[in-house]
Amino acid sequence: MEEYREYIRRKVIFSLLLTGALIFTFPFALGVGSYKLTFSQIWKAFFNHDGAAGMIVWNIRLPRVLTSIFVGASLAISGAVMQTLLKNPLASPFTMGISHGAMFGASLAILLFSGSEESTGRIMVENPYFIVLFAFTGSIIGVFIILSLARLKGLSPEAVILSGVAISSFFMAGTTLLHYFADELQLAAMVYWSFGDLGRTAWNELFLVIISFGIIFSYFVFKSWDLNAIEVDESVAKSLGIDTTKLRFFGIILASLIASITVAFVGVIGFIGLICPHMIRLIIGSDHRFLIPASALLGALILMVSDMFSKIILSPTVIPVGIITSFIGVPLFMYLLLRVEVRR
Amino acid sequence: MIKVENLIFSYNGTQVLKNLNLEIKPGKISAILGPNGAGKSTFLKCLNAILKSKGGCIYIDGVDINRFDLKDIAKKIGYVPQKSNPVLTTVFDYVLLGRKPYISFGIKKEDLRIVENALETLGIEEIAMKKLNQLSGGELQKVVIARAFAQQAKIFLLDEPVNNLDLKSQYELMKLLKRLTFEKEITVVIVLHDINIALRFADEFVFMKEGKIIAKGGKEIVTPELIEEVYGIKVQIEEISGIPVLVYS
Repeated sequence: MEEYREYIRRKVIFSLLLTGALIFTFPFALGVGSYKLTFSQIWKAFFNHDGAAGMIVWNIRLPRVLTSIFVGASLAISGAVMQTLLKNPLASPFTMGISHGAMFGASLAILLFSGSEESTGRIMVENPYFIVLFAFTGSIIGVFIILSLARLKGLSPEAVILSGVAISSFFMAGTTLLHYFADELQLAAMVYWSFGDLGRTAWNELFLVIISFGIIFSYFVFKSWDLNAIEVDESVAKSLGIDTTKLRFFGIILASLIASITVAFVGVIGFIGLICPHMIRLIIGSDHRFLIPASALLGALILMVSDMFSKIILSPTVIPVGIITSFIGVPLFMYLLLRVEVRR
Repeated sequence: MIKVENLIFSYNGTQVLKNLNLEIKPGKISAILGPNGAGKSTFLKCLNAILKSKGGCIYIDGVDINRFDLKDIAKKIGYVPQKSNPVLTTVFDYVLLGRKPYISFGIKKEDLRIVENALETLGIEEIAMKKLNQLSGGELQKVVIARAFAQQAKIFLLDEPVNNLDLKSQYELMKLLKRLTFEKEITVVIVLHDINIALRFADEFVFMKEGKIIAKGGKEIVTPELIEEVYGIKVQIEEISGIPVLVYS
């Protein structure tokens, strides 16, 4: 028993270390950018909204850094839960066709509601919320098609993943069709949207992301034991008194929802949802009581640091962070593949 | 303790279990035997409502199983599946899962103590902190059974628990089950393939074929005629040192 307590203590300490790293990196993330801010400037800006530093911190840096934290955390817990519920180590927030659905929705909104301004050569969208709304709707439609099939026809988790692949291809075809009919500027906007960029959220959108993260995160943590049981075996989970059909259904809906919300606001950010849960499983095991919070912390940390890199690497040009996460994600993923024989 | 009346189960329109009637005696090991596809595993899953029966009734201690919710059933019946995935978790964590019907989120000291007890009962306390994927087949089965003990179940349903084990582990596991059945006054329903193991360790015998119960009763019902009827092969049953042994002829 003492040994087990020690083992649990180690997991708690690991999670605290991650939290520490996140807090430590936070001021650095606020400082990085084309307008360099020192720590004392940032500190003063917190209490003084006016002035250049105050404006930058409150209007640009803080929303952006918080967005990276909560989007990273959202994608990571979505991935962790998807991997468990779909019994597949390759499951990620985008397994359910979410990214392609969102891309299709956003492209459609751009095609329908934008008019290019000849003089400036920039694209104007009548209301940027249309893009968010369409992207969200696109991704959620895909999820619901898959889940209704699963519910009506009793699809196995493996079949759910395959339908995700099918839905993705369908949306991809749709998006390509829209590309074909778009003019040059619209096409550029469509492609740019798909890059994933953390600078698109202001405070209002950020609050929505934080609230949905808070609710869904609490739900998953509360259901940790159920997730532990279903990971072991479906019939064992049932024999332990868990309604596995309900758990899987609501779990997938919520994991998709939280991913759809983030994708709608910031575009596609790959690999965070896939990589973070695997790294955490490797370090502290797959007990969901710790897996979910630690994945959230790691996702937040990785995305925040990636965003710093995206500003530094080709400074003053800011590279969309989705490109950075993919570049970091692929080698990490390869490493994980070689390191652990992926479960199953 | 468990009474089954006219139990029917069908899957996609085909009847898998056809009107089963059975009374399972408490404090004994009942072996369910029969060829592949006879419906043994399905029957086991119906017994604790993992699968919902399509007709008939199952009574646990005289109460219709449909009147319990899943959690109540989990406190009465422990289930050990045919194959257990060696997930990335420790033995202690796995056995702790048995406390799931009793906890909502936080674990109490009491839960940890019960887990320790369960580990001791199965004699696996020294591997408590090992990962499941580092265990041998025999150890893994003991861990899964320990989990059912942590559940404080009085009825144990085991689906072919000795299938992938070597001879020594098979023997040890069955001996352990036999001892625990007696000491802890539990009821064991066990699906077995090896009739010799059943003859050696089980008290009651249920033979199934094509979704029906062909025969049930004590050791005396296991005759060459019955085996031929159920499995379609000719055998002899000889007694060696007082233990009936099945020999292929």
